[in-house]
Amino acid sequence: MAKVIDTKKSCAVYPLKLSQPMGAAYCFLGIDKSMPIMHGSQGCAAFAKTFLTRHFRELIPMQTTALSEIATVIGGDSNIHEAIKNVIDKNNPNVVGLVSTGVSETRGDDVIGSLKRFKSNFPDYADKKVVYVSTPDYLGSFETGYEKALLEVVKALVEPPRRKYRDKVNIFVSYALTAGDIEEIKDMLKDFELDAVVVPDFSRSIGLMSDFSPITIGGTTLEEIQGLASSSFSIAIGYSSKAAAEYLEKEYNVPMFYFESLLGLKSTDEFYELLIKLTGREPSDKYKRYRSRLLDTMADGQFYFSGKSVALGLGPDLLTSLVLFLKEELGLNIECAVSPVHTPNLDLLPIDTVYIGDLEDIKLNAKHVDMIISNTNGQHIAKHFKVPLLRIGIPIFDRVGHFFRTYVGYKGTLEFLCELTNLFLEHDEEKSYEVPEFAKQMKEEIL
Amino acid sequence: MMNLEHLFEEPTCSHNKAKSPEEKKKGCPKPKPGAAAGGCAFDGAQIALLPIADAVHLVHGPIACAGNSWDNRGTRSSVSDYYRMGFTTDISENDVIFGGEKRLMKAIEESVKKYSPPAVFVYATCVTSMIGDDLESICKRAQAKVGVPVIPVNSPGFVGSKNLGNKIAGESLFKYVIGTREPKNTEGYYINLLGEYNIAGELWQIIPIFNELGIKIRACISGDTTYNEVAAAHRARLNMVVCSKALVSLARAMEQKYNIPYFEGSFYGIRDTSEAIMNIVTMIGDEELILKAKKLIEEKEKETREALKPYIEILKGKRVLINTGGVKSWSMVSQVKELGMEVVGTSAKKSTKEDKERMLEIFEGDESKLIDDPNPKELIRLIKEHNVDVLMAGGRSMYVAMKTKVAFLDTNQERIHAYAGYEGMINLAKNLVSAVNTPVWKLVKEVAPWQKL
Repeated sequence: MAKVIDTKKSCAVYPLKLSQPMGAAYCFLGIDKSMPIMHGSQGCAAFAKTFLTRHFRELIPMQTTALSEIATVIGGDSNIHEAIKNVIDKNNPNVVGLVSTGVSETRGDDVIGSLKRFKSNFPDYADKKVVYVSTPDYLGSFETGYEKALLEVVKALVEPPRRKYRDKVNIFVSYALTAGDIEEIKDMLKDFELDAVVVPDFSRSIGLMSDFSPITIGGTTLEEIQGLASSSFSIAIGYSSKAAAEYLEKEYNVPMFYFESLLGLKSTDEFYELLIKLTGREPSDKYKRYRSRLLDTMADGQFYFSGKSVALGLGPDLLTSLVLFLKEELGLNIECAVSPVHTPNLDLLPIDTVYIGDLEDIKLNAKHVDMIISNTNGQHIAKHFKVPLLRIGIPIFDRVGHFFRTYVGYKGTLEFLCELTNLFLEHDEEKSYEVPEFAKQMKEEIL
Repeated sequence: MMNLEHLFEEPTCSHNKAKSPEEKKKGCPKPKPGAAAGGCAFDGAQIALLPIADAVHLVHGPIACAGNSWDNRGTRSSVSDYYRMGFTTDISENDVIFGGEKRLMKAIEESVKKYSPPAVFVYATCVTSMIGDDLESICKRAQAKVGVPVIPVNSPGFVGSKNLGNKIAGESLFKYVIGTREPKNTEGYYINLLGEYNIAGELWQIIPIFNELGIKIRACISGDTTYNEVAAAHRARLNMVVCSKALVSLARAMEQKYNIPYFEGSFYGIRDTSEAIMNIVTMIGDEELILKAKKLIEEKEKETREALKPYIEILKGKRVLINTGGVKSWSMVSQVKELGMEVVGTSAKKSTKEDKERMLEIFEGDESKLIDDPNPKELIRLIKEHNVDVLMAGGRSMYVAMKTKVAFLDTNQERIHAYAGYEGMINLAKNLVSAVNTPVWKLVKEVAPWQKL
């Protein structure tokens, strides 16, 4: 059990937190033919769009209700109605995600009422799917925004099932999963002859070479979401996906199984135990060999990572998954763990303290670290400690391909383990070539 | 045929002393076909000389010799990184047919032109020896042409083992290098270290202690050293032979020719480090220095033991099996015993009689702890029989032993962690604790989900 301490600083220096509406908008990027609209001033959407564009190196569909000074003061339906109407007229998306912002929430807009009026005022648009998520910037963070959006998508779009499909499974994924993760999970399920519907399915929407499109080019389809209740069970991976799966269980009797993460030997073993139990089948040899490779690499790498100390600055789902793997399976010392927001999974972590704060808190609280594990912004902290930075999470601005890497299952764990171990190895090796000052001086005297 | 007989005349070699005149003629034991492990004579020669880091080390042979071995050592240098380069003539089929001398001559010229080293070491290998390239005469001619010493190292792999290669290297140094240059300074306590390779910077863990005592290193043969230092190695008060098997014959030759006394010692462990320092100051013979050293040792030992306490707490009573070569086979034993660990066995395959005597002394006469043939099967048997907690191993055997899923510590020559002197002792303890404590060994024993069916 970890003590979760809010650092309560008045001033964040190296912010780790990202805004709640951006997390909500991100959720819609994994839904096919969808368009997130931020209900706020133009900048709310522009910053988020630029940020996600840099992170994914990809066109990011995003619109705004573009609240002007007058609209902000007076309020009213016009900006919302106009925005939705324009987006539908121009792009005809299947799903519109309307996410509120600090501006609209501070004004206290009644968006739900406004959407009702939109339907009665514009009956031609009444059957269009608009999902509203309340995500004020001044509450929560990217992670909670995502969690809320996923829940609202399920609430708003899932329909009562006409029949059940025995081999159909819903996979609800955390914001922390990559396209590579999603592909691997689908493969693992296919290996058990299960059809997986991943929600949201970022592997079909982000990072693909395609023609220009103002709306998402793929992802979980509206039909797939509407049919989620016909699956035989759901698996939720990562805390931010749990609420949506729970709702489906409660409302539509689709049993759900929850995993904190699928990184690591133990959680993957548990995942396989579940699949074996539910289907009576076994994984194919390829996956068995990957388990064996993972174990072999753990043994090969142990003298590079054993006894090392790391500091983590990550959103709660990634933080949870990494702490469990690094501490319990590799035996690393978690010198400092910082999350931008307090979610209940953090309380259960097997470390003493989790700080709710920014990356500066690593600088303030860590004494000795051998590596920083965080997003691109962790480089400032890594420089301070003169240690390597392992880049994971959002944003990653200074690497390509991060979204296609795999961190789940035996294979993904192996890949991550190799990256981690090699960074330690490289750093230790470099250090071992450093010549102490006295040795240099001695030679100078002689030469 | 090369004349190597004199290399086997080793009065200080206990292997040699015990032999009949007939056996003596045969020289060191030959590698057994089908059951040989370890490197060849070329490997041994290169290992001993590469840390002369500002020289070019040119391997005259097909690509296998340098291509498969370059930059594979843990040695470190403060002066140059030529030792991390793989200079080779990379001879072709044509050279094999028509001779490789021309190519070698060109290679020497090219390397000197491009890298202006103070000297070039040229290594003969099996193929270039077989085709009859005359190494000595080319080196002589090349030297006249390029204007820096070009030293032949006649070390074709087929003449014998790595150990013999060390001796060949020592001989090349003795014959062509040592004594060719006079140092600027002769005042002060200058000593040489022989057989210290500065693996992972281990020499740098010792030097601060020497600095405090005013002891200076003339040449470390060879670790973090320069050609000119080695050339002036004949001006030293004493030689400390750090890896007993490798260069003891060089120490003996230097004693005979230059009157430099020598002793064998080790920097692994508190006891051995202190003993080595005391030996050095006693041989220098300055009363004041001896007193100063005694005081320093006392301080360092106290400091180190204090720092070790938390680690010993964890390591106490843990069982360890050691499979490493030469001097490390006994010096590491005393090192881990100082950490409160129980040594269930140590390999004695690459040890001299004296090494073995020291091992037995540490084990209080228990011969069963000396493993004469540490093959993978035997190691696995011992690990299981004695319920070993951690294996300290070097070279290839460690990966075999790892399949037994027991914790292990890398002690081989490519490692990147330094374990010498008082500071190294703390490093070793820290890494042993990490190895023993890692949850990985528990994980690897867990049953896979599909085996639970």
